[in-house]
This record gives sequence, C-alpha cells and structure tokens, in this order.
Amino acid sequence: MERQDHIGEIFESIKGMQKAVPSPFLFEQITQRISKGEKMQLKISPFMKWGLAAVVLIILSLNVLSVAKSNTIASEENIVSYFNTIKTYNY
Amino acid sequence: MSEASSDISFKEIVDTHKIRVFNTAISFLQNKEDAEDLTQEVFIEVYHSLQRFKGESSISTWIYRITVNKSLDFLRKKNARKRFGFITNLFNKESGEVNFDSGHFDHPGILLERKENARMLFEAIERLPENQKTAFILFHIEELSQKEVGEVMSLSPKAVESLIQRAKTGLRVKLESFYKKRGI
Repeated sequence: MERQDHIGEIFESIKGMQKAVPSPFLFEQITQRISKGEKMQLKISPFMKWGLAAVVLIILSLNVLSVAKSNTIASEENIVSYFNTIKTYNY
Repeated sequence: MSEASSDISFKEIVDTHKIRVFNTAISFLQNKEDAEDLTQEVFIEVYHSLQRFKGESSISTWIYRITVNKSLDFLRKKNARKRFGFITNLFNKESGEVNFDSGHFDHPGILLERKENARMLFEAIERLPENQKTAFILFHIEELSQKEVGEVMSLSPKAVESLIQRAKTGLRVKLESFYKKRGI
C-alpha cells in the first residue's frame, strides 16, 4: 500500500509545475541561423554546381579512357609475345 | 506580404508559441541545452514552411506536430549513437531485474520538494515507446485535451485515450521495479 502511495505521489509531482522559459535571445538566435542558412545557399550557386558536376564527369571519363587504353595495349602486347613464342618454338 | 510585415508576424508566432515548444522539447529531450537548440530548429522549420501551411489544422497543432517529430528524430539519433558506444549491462544477471537508477533530469519548472519524484517519473517516461511517450507528455504535461492530442498525432480521441492508459500502466510497472530494487 505504501509503495502504491509513493507511486501516486510520483505521478502528482508534475501537477502544477511551472512552465520553463527559453532564452530571451531566442528570436535573435533563430534569425541569425536563418540568415546564415540563406548565405550558405547563395555561396553555392547553380552555375557552380553544374560546373563542378561537369569537371567530375570529365575526370571520370579520362580515367575510364585511360584504363581502357592501357587494357588494349596490354592485350596487344600479349598477342605479339604469343606469336613470338610460337615463332621461337617453331624454330 | 512585405518583408517588414512578414518579419513581424513571424516574431508574433515565435513569441506566442515559444514556451509551448520549449517545454514540449524539454519533456522529450530531458536536457535544457538540447531543448533550446531544438526550439530554434522548430521555428526555423516554421519560417521556411509558413508559405506552404494550408491552415488545415490550427497553427498551434501544426507547430506541436513539428516539435514532436523533431524531438523524436533527435531521440532516435541519440539512441543510435549510444548503440555504437559502450553499452552497460542493464540487467542484473542473477535476478533478471531491470537495473533502474534514478535519472538525473531536473525539470526547471518542478518545485524543489517534488524534484526527486519528478526525476524518477521522467526517467520512466524516457523508457516508454514513442507513441505512448508522446500521448502522455502532450496530455499530462502539456495539458492538451485528448482531442487536441489526437489532432497532433493524427489519431482519434479514443486511440489517444488508449495510449495514455497504456502509458500510465507502463510507467507504474517501471516505477514498481524501481522500488523493488530499492527494497521498499
């Protein structure tokens, strides 16, 4: 019974509680964060975004071409050395 | 709307609702600094979304909804971070009881003589499932009606009533185990 009374008291502890008050500078803090957010968006303009995307694409394409070219050269060299090997054995 | 008049009306919205938002955030987050931060984020979202607000609900219901969603997101991220950190064994290996230490959250609005009890209650509230926690906080702490809670949570008043009952039952069970551990 005593425990139930204690639990009842615990539930009562929030009754009549006062409302906490936020910082008096809340509005200024909010407006500062809003204007910071807007400045960040202006710094990265759409032109810059597209330009960056184009540069990344070019670099990727060059890498792919270079890898493809080095694979082709390697396979050509393999073919040449294969025929040389055959020639050597035929002699 | 001119910039000056829109700034005035946004300030009015902040002034009218800041205490509700802050107190709701405190009840969820149980940390004054986090609640201050979250309050700012709620109003930043309000600022950016005000043009899109269609008035389907009251503005206070809408702001409560943003506050609850942001609070729950914050708690989910906090719990995810905890899982990656060091996890202490919550269970007493011998008896299987939940190891329930009294919380450390002192709500700034609670009277001094009730702080210890309130600490235990908030610790128990923290462990409730999200929907029960939300219903309990909005009804018992924010003192919204069941209808208003339903509007915030997009539930019927009956569903809200059921959630509140389950929350109270859950809280009693948690508080009972706390007393068992203390040998009271």
